Amino acid sequence: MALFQRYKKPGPLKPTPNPYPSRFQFWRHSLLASFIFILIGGGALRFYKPFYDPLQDRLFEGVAWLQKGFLQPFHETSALLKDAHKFIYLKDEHGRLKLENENLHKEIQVLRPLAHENAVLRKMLNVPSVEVIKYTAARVLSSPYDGLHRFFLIEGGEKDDLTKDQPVIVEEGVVGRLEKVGTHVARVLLLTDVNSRIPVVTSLSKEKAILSGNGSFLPNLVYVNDVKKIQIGEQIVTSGLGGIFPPGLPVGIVDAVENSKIKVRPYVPFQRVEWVQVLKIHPESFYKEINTALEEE
Amino acid sequence: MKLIATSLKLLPLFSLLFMIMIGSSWQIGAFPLMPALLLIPVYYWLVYHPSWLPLGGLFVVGLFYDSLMNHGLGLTSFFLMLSALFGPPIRSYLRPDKFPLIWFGFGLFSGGYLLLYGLIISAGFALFVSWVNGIILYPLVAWVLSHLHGRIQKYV
Repeated sequence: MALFQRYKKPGPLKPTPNPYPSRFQFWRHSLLASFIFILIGGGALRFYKPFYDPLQDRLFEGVAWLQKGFLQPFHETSALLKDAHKFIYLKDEHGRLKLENENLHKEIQVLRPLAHENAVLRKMLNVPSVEVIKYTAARVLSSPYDGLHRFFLIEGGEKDDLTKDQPVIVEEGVVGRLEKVGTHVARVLLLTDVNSRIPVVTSLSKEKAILSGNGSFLPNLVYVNDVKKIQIGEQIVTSGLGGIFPPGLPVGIVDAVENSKIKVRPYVPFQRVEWVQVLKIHPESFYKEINTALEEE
Repeated sequence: MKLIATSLKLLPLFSLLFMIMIGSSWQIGAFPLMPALLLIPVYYWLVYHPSWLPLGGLFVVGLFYDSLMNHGLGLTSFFLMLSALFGPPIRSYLRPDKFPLIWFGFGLFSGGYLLLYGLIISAGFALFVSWVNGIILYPLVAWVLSHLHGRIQKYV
C-alpha cells in the first residue's frame, strides 16, 4: 500500500557486533530497567505530599494555560464567524430586539407596582430582605471528557476573586461548582461528574435528596426518603443545604424511576454552553459558622 | 545541526500533546474522543519508530494528560510506559506494508488499553464509543503521521 512508503524489504541478516560493551551499558539501554527506575522514582514522589500537591497545582495551571493558548485562535475564528453572521442579519435582529424591548417595557410597567407592594408587605410582616447574589461571567475554554470525568475549564481564577466551591450556573440552571481555581483558569465540576453531590429538593413531593453524578448524562437522585412519592416530570431544585448552592436554583426534571433508581435529566445543555456565571458566594464562611456551632455544642 | 536533529526527534512527543489538546477540546456527538485518540500516535510511533518515544517522554505526556483530565498524577504515565514496554515484542508480528494488519493491531492494542483503563477508573459505555471513534479515525491520523514521519526521517 502506498500509504507507508518508508518500508524497505529487509536484506540478508548480518552478524552485528555486541552493542553493549559493559553490563552498565546493557542496563542503561534496557527498557525494563528504565521502566522500573521511573516507576519507583515517580511512585515514591507520588506519596510524598509536600512535593505532590504543589506539583499538581503547578501542572494544572501550566496545562490549562497551554490549552488556553492552543484554543485561542479557534475561539477567535468562531467569534469572527458569529459576528459576520450577525452582521448579515443585522436588520432582522434589530427588529426582533425592538419588539422584545417593547414587550419588556410593558412587563416592567406591570411588575413595578407589584414590586412596590411586595416591599411594603415585607416591611409590614418583618420578613428579612432577599440577599442579591453577585456573579461573574466566565467563558468556557474547553470541556475535557474521557468517559468518566466531565468538567469545564473556564477563563477566570483567583485574579477574578473566584474561590473553590463557588456555584456555577447558566440561564437554564445549575452547571456545577468550582473544583480547582488557578490564577487565570478554573475547573468546574459538572453535576454529571462521578464526584459531584448536590443537595436538592423535589418541587411537588417536597422530598429532600442528593443529586449524585455517575459519569452519564442522567445523574441519580439518592437518599430519597420515600421513592414512591417521586413523580416523573417533577422539577428538581437546589435545597440550599450544604452552604454551597443557594436554594431554589433549577437543576433538572425527573426522567425515569426504575427499580427505586431515580434518573434526573439536567436542564443545562452541556454541549452548547459557551459562557457561565459564577456566583460570588463564599462557602468558607458557612463552613466556619458550622464548625463554630459544633464546637460550642 | 545536532540541535535541530534532536528537536525534530521531539516532534513525535509533541504529536501526542497535540492529540491531547484536540481530543480534550472536541467530541463526536456527546461521546469522548479521548483517550483513544491519544493512543493513535502512541501506537504509530511504537510500531514505526519506538526510539522516538522514550519512556521519560511518555511519562511527561502522561502527567500532562492526567493533569488535564483530573486523574491522579501518574496513572496515564504508567499505562503509556507499559505500552512502550509491550511495544517491541508485539512489533515483531506486524508488517509495515500490510496496513489492514497494522489497523487490526491498533484495534487490539487500544481495546486492551481501554479495557484496563476502564477497569481502573470504572468507566463504561463512553470508553467503548471512544474506542470505536479511535478505530475509525486511525487511518486519517496515521496518514498525517506518516507524512510527518517521512519529513523527520529526511532530516534526522
